Amino acid sequence: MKNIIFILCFSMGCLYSSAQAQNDTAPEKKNTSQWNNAIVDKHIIPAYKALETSTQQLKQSSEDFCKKPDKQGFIQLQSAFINSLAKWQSIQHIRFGPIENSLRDFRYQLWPDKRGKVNKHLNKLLIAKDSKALQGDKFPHGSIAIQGFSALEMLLFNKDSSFQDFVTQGNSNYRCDVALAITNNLSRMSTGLVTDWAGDNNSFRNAIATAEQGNSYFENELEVSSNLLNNLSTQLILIVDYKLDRPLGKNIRKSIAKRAESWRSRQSLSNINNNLVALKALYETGFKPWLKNTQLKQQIDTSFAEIHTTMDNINKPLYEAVKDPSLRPVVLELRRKIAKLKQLCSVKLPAALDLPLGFNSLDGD
Amino acid sequence: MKKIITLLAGICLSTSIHASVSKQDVINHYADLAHAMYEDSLVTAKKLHNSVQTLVAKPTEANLDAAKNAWKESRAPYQQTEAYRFGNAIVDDWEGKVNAWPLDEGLIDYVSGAYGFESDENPYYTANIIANKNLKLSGRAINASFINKELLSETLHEFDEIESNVATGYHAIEFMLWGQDLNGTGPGAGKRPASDFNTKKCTNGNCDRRAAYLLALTELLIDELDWMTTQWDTSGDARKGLMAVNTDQAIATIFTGMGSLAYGELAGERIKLGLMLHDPEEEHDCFSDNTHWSHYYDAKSIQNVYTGNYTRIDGSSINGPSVSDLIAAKDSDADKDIKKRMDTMMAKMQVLVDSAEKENIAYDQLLAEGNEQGSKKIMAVVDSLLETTKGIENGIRILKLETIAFEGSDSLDAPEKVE
Repeated sequence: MKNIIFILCFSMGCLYSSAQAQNDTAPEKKNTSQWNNAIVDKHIIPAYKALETSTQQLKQSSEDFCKKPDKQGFIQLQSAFINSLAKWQSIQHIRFGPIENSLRDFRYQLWPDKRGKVNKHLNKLLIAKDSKALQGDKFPHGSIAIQGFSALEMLLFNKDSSFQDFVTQGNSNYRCDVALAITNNLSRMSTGLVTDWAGDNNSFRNAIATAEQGNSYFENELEVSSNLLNNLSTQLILIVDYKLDRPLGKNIRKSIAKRAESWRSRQSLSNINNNLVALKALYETGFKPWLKNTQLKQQIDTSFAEIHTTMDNINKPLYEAVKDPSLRPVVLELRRKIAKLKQLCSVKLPAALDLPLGFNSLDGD
Repeated sequence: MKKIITLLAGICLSTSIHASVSKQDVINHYADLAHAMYEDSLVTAKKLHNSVQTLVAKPTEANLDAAKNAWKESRAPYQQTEAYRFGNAIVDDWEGKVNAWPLDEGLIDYVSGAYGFESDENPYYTANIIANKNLKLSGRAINASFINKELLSETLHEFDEIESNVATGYHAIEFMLWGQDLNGTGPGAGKRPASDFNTKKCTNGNCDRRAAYLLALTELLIDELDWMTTQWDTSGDARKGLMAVNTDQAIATIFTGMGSLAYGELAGERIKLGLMLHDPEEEHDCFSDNTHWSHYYDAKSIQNVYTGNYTRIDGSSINGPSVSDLIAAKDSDADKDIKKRMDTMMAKMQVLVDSAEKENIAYDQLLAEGNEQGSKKIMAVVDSLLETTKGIENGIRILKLETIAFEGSDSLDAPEKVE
């Protein structure tokens, strides 16, 4: 019922309030610009570019398949989906900036979908066969539930999905039209992200690079660092509380495997792995270099390594593992280890870096 | 499932306090306000129960309308308590019993075909308690031949920890009184006929069980609100909980309640998501189309807590020391700024109210796809809530309630909770 996931960590309150008055007591002034810029250039922009490339390939695969639907093309399309999903999961943690424009964050993927909206809205669309709704100027403004990975996965990986759904009578051609609309949408959004981040002088990259003087996006460079740190912490909360706890349930009998992210394509664990690889890169590029607490550094390194080892011991999809008496304990072990990392990054790291986390967007019912 | 917020007070202590208002005064008054609001909620819930008894005894359309009005009146004081939910663990652990939302109404009663037949999230999506004396849930046979408070609250509510299995509370009552709103994003709310409760000329079957269900719901609501009102008495646990921690921590709790209601809950979960889906089911009061008032009074709740003012259902008002005074003593411009942000928030909420009450365009019509004017009105509310959140964050900084940490997650607090 309640997921009051709150992180109020205003230990840096003093730093944001009038610096003049507090100069004598304020800690030594730090400048985090270079680390923020490193995150942008080495981590964020390359990841969005990879997403752009992969979604272009996905769009191409869907066009090829829909011209001549056959088994081989379908398998090719499914594999392009999995590749694009992996690229999305590698940048899912960035929750500010251009991803917020035009509701892109939700249009890429509505998840968790606690009210089953993807299923409902997709079925409604398939029954209505409304081709106007799929037009390029209309589709992005409709329900966010059917515009991204969740809806596409449902089309491509439903239990009985096969290439024949796309050719036989009934919904045949329209099903392909929907797939094309979604892949086109994903590809356009990804290109938009790359342009908005790295396009020209008005790019978001530039806003971060000039944050030190303050601009319309950021008061100063520490606000950028705080946002990035918040994203690191929020993603770990998402993994533990949503990606693992919800399918796990309180015990094996009460596990609900269908609450796992991307369960239809059996990518749940792969998603988590991609998230963690990305979080590690974010941490190592932008925070570890100026973290002075060597004990905490050691703890975080160990934590990432232990998670990796445990992950390797789960040799079935999460969808099966949560209900498998021999694997469930390993999943629980994984969860404990990620929860430990979550604590390190949400509590100890902000304190050690003297950065505030602010309110957390996952809060709410 | 419960996440408990613990806001630990910061290390820097405030150096000066406004001469006339102490933190302790603010905390005391905050608890007094809560008591008044829950008491008003209880009084209006009793009126609702009376009108439901009349409806069940004599199921006429006029009596159904009277019960609907009583429900709407009961929502006004309750929604104003919502700023107490986040931050006060005792409220948060409890509130799902009375205000859980959204619900899979197919668990309770008959639904239309458009509702669908299954859900990834909930295996009991169409269990229909009212039509089934014997339920088989999660491999367990459940005797539902007698519908009473225990069956609803102890067995069925949040069955299998599934959040949308809402068997009790305001929204279940709302569904019982209005039924499903089948008008999509067009005009009109749910249209359950009064004859659904008529045991002699019953429509849609099982009218005796439906009437028993509704009665049990209003009785439960009274029990729960009575309990919560008591918790805010001078010797109640909610009040004692606030007094048990140091004053900075208690003040931080007040801010958490306001900020989390404004940001994640109201702006995000209840408002923005629905707009993005253009889905009429995604409004807080989806059966009754009373959402504009629910949102309005939620915002009012934030303003009440900040300013220490509350207008009771009898028209009298309560005023007293509040966090506004604490901030004003340190930085009067910041206090004015926060108040201004909240005034804007109320003005934007008023636009939603006027749309529904004066222009007859309900909230679920505003969020329809292609309704650009409606979308703007809703987004203006979201933006004003985000601005209010920023003001609240600033207030936290000014009072130096720098939090060392909170930890809200089961995974750290009680790893054994998951087996």
